[in-house]
Amino acid sequence: MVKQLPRTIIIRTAGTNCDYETQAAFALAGSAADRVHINRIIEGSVTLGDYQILAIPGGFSYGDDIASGKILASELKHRLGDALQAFAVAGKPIIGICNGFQVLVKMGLLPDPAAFEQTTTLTFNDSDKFESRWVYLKRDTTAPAKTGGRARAVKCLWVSDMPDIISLPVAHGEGKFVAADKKVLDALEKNNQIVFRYCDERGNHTGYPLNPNGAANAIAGITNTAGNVFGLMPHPERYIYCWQHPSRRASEGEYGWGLNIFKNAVNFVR
Amino acid sequence: MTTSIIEVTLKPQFRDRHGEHVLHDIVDSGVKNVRTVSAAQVYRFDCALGKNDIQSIAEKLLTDPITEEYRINDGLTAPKSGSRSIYIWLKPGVTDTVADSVSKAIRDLGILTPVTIKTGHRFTFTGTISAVALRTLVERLLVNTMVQEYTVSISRT
Repeated sequence: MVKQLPRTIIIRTAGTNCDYETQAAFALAGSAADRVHINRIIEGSVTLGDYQILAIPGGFSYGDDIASGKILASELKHRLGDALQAFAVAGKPIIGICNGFQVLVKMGLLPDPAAFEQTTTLTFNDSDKFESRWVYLKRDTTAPAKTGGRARAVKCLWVSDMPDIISLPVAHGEGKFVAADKKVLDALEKNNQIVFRYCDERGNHTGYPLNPNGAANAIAGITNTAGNVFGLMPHPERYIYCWQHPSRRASEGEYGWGLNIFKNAVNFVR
Repeated sequence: MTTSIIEVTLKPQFRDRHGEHVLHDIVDSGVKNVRTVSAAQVYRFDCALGKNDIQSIAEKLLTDPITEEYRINDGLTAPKSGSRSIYIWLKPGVTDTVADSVSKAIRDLGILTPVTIKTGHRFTFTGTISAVALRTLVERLLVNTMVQEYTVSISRT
């Protein structure tokens, strides 16, 4: 008997442009991934409940009009909010990459899907320029001093099997992570919701240009407390083969570190 | 049918990097007597919507609640003391794609009343630059006069 592959839905709309690469990454990771236009879900011909994994890919949805991800976030929240929140609260894996991360925070699915209110944002880079290059990322494994310095690995199913320092490409104009206030930022730190921080090759936190946008606490990606909803500005789907890296670095044989992120989610739902 | 102007700016605690970028370009062009530049996104609504609906759209759709704030029907009539503001709009007949996106997003909010929208930018300058010099600067750096038009608003004091 042939076992069915885990199914992934990749939601696309006008201006989405990383959906094919995201589909290729999930396929390589062992998932049957469908690219689905948002209108098909709104009209009811496609149901989120038929899928085990949900992805909002990168791009420039609706031309980045008003602000990056804002219109798609509003559309998803007002037209599909209940279904999306149920998907997240059920513990199913959700990933938002770049524009998808902007969408997740602006509709409030991150950092707390249960509250479903916007408490963080991704705004214009400090450089006021589009930043496009490879960056280093450190998976957060050390609790801040406020928690007594106890080392606790971040609880996020998407990065369960990863080296602590990886590199991925970024390409964005609005990637600076900002929290509504210190309380929100401290809660993210305390709850170990910060998945990736920008760093140098050795993992030291640093400023521009290695932190390409001036993000608070060098934050490149966050998760919810359950660890199933994950948003990040860098593009893991652009590093699934080693030959995509400028130095042809590989994680396992011919593959790139970005693939691990997709494999982790697929293995989780198997 | 009423006209509403909504201006969206950064909250005071955030640095206006775009305004700083424009100021840098101005200095690079050889003009030294502009002191600060601040930038804003501007929306003009012509519609039969009431004040509450306009406010709801501004709050839920046009403004990022974390970093931005909005003013309705204020900026055009009350530039800050000692400042000059320019408002840049697309010329009539030029497709305003941002306005099309905003119209779609308003319908997503459940507001189905037709709204005619124009989108634009406001730049406010402080310093000792004359109106003539400002127009030269604006046309050189900020406006594409083939598709855009602009107005200058000067504070009364």
